[in-house]
Amino acid sequence: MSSIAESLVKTMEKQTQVRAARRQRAKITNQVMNGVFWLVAAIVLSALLFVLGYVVLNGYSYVTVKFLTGSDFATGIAPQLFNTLYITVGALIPLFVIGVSAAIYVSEYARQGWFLNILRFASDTLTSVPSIVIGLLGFLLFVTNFGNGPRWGFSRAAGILALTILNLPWMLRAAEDALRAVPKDFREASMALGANKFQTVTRAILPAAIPGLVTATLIVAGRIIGETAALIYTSGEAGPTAGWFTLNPFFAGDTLSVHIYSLFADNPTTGAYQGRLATAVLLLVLIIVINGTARFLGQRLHQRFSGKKA
Amino acid sequence: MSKAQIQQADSAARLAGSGKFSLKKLFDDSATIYFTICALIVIATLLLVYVNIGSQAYQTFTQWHISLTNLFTSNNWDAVNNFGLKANFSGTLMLVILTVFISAPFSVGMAIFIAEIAPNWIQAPMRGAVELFLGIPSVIFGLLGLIVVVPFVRNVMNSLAGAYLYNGYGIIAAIIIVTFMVLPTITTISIDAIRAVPREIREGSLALGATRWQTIRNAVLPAALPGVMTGVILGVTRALGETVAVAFVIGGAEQFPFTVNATAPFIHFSNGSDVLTTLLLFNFKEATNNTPLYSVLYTISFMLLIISAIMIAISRYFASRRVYR
Repeated sequence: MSSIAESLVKTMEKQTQVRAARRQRAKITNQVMNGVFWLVAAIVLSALLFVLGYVVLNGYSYVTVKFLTGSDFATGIAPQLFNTLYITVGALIPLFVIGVSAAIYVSEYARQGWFLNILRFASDTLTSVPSIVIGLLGFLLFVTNFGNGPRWGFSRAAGILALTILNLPWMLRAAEDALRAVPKDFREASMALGANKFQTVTRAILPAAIPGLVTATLIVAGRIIGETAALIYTSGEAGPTAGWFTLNPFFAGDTLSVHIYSLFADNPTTGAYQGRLATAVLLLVLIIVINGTARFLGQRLHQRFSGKKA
Repeated sequence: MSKAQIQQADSAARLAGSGKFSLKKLFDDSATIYFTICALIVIATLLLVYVNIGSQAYQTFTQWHISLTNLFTSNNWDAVNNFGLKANFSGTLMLVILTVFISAPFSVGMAIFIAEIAPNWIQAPMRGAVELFLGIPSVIFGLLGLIVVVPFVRNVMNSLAGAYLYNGYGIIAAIIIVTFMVLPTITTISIDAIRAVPREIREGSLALGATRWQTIRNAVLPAALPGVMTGVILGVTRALGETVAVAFVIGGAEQFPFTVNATAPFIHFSNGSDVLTTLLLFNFKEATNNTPLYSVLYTISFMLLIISAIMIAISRYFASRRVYR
């Protein structure tokens, strides 16, 4: 009888020991994994800092007044700056009008059902289309007449339309987020006062969503400025050297991003090293300023509606 | 008043108003129509893309009598008569698979760090940094690849091979560059997926005596997995569609990314290969209308469209499996 009790005590002791060892092991694994995650984060962050640091440190000294105002292909950037501005603003207008309206439909009018499902599927599928394919589509529809002879030729208008197609689903999604961030109370209060749907949208929801819509527009603007592949075969990769200071939409010309590529395609190994880096610095600074502003506004909006910090 | 009475009164009021012309109602109705049309434009845009690319794509088969099997099984590409895509297709496949396999663990690790482990004060700045990373244009990645990654790959591979065999251009450099580009895409979506897991799940696990890592591995990650997978699939579409960044470092030659034979380093990486997207970019310049090349390039575009659409269908499947959002 006593031997049974003894063995029972022994097994229990052993079990406790096993448990303690397991617990110890789990604690060690926890510490190790903690270290691994810190390491991963450090690696990724240093990669980012490297990208930014390398471009800026190597390129900033080439950004001179002469470079900013000159219009020579390899040593001046003025036509590209103008084209970037032109194409960005040009594409944002149709994007804003169609994107925000479609977002209003999705967030205010649509009922759950097959139409909304198709719309969401269409928008998701459109986001997945590779930008070079949109470039070839733009070439087909706007630059040439379905391949048979010229339509507008390489032109800013073709680039603008290609970018509109490319960014429409992104604008829709960003604008929808902005509209959904407006609290439900706004809609209910407006409806309760006897306003109809249209009045509710234009007088209650849109004014409240303006900061969010500005954020959405800025995010899309950042995407447009960074886009290259969709523009190479629509607005063209050639850098104009004269006559570019015009509002003519059928004028061809490269943007900052395309310029980096065309300097590369022109002479892959050595040519215009300085011009490429300096353009890259300008592009990076532009993108960071735009995205930073978008983020700042987004946080302000979040604070305004939720009353707490992001 | 009962509910039925209210409804009756309501419909009576509507009837009374319906006959009268009202500017307010006209605006309301036309606005509804206008917003619906704008939503239809989004669907129409997708159709525009598919129909127009498709209408050019099918001419490869009807007008030039190049068979689909020929495209996939031949690796002879001369851009005039022979359009074998085997080498480019394997390039794309290798790029997408390796890129996603390398960057997914880092991205998910980064997302776990930001959402679960990092102290509060660094969470917001780190998220900002990842979003900044996401916004960097692909040309800049390409340029960096050309200036930094290509020489790096050249030096490392030649010193490993013990002879000057490689110029640094090719699939390896492309994989390195695209890995960095896919990373923030997967990370941001994974952060959202992990954040969406409710606190109760974590608290329950911790209350049972689990350590933080056990909680992450056994409770949080399984709950967030569908969301994380959505991010991974979107990473695949980004790697698949990436053109310009790859164009800077791929070298542009229609050959297999690597060959295997019995001599010294056994796996010989090609000095320059191509993927489907860069094939489009490099060859479209020379393509003129009414040539087989022109049609074949649109066929490749259509293939990319189809693959991307399949990827989106998969990611939507994972999204529909999400319990927490």
